[in-house]
Amino acid sequence: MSAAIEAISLTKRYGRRATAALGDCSFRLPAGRISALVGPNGAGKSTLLAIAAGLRRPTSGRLTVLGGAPGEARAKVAYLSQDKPLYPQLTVAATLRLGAELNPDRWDAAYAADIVEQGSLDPKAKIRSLSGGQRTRVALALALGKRPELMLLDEPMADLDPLARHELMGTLMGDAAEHGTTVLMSSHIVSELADACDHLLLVGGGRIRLGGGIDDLTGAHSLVTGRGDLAGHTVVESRPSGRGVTALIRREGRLGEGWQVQEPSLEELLLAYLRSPGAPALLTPSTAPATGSGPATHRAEVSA
Amino acid sequence: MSTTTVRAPGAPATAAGRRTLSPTKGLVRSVLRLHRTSVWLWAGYVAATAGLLLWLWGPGTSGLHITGRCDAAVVNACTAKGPTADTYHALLTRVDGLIGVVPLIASAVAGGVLVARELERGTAHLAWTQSVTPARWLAVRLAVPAVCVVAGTTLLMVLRRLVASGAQGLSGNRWYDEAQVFDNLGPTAVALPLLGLAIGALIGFLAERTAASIFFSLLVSSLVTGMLDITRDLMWPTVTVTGDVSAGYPRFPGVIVAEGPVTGSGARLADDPGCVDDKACLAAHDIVGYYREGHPPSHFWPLQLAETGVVLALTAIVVFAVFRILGRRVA
Repeated sequence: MSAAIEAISLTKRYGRRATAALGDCSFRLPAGRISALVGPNGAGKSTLLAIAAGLRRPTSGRLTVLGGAPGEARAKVAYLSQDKPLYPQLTVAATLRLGAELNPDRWDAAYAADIVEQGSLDPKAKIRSLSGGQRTRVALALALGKRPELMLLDEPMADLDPLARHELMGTLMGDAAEHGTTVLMSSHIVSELADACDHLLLVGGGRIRLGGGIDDLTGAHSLVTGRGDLAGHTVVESRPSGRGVTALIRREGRLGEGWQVQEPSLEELLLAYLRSPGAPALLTPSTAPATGSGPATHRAEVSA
Repeated sequence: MSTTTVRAPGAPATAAGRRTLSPTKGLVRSVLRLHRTSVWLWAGYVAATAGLLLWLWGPGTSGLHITGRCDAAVVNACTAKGPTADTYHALLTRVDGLIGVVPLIASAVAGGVLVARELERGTAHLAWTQSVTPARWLAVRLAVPAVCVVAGTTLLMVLRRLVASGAQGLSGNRWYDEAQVFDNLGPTAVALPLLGLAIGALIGFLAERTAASIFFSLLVSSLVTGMLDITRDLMWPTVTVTGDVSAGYPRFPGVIVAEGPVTGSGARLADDPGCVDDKACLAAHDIVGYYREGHPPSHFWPLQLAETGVVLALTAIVVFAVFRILGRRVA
């Protein structure tokens, strides 16, 4: 499968002395996936998305988008950030015309107009008079009107009420499913991601800590409760529970006697990793970069 | 030009019948739409100033009733006492001031509205994540106002020259009377606003805040134009005229850069001891004559072209720096 995004030893430092927002980050996002980008605040999610969108240059390392440099893929990539900048003085119709002017050859005016219409927005309304949800809809129309092959979404729904969020996510995911668009979406709302995404990239400390299909990743881990020896397995997190422990482990073979075994939910998996910043990274083969990888990135085989 | 739309393989179909815009044309339209207010204000300013210049050239000049023969080499050789004379002089000063602030306005608009506001609001990112490259975005963003400014200031400069030629030699129309008159009578009137635009764009990228950018654009542009005023006289070799002691200071029409007494050894004294006719004083200081050094009226074009060259070179350097800054920031 071809890669929508491939990063090799990607590093981004803001200022000379600052700690790196991204440090030696390597991964691969296969085309056609709808991938969640999760991580604590300041983990480098926004930086990663901005580099992929061609809005920032990495300090070192390489990132390719749809097989080329981020700047070359502009026409095929849509980017939506939480602040969703639009020109307040323009009307909705004029904003869409801007989309046509700035995306010659690619712009699908009818489609963009459709998205705006679904929200029953008045094309003559000025952007500054719109609510947050309506503004997001216009930004979404601008992003989808260019018919992107890759969508980079940096918490675009974070400031919306649940209804608007649900509606717009529906529009977005419907589009992605229909056109096979690759999506990389950062969010803090795990339930939303679990519904929409089939792929996960967990960022922490400037690198990818977990990468792969959500089912593959949850399947590779077990939530075990009981007493006994967990030697030979990678223990991500372990907490006392009753007279034994509850642990989230990466199985490396058969478990001993006396363990109650469960497959973790996405939320349990994420929380375990977020609480244990020292846990070793896991990238499934399809998510590990084809050529070279960061020295500290542990590549593991996963049995699906 | 072919009318068929060429699409990259895999690119989605655009709406049927939609004419394909070239990337540059689309960008030009977007810049004009986004900055419609600025475009109209500029058009209004040019129209109003051109109107004033036309009045000065036509009714203003014919009502001057100039007495005497205006001669560049003679101080106050002619005066105007006609019914429009007072208005003419007052208006001429105002109009020269109006044309003179264009470089500052251009830098404030470029720094504040064209660049910093886009960065501050994040709308620059909106543009850079469409299909156009940031470099092309910036190029069009600078080229559109540059074309407007060149068109407008060229018109005003030509009209200003017409006004000057209608009452040549009259005070206010002589290039050496004031730096502002000099700037408005030649291509520097067109080049200086371009430098202003470039400085504004640079400050806009450095400051990233609209208000700060406007402030610093005005500040830096004022400093740069001030520096140009100071260094202008050095841009072309000066002419020196000497006269003997009995004739006093030689007549020198034009811009005087330096003047003073000359001693028997040919040395120039920095300070005139103020001897005038005092023979003993002259002897004591060994003063045998006086000199004046400067630019005669004939130096107008050499000075204009030299300054325009310097201004355009500076503009090119600043524009290059702006593109470098952008290129380092974005992919």
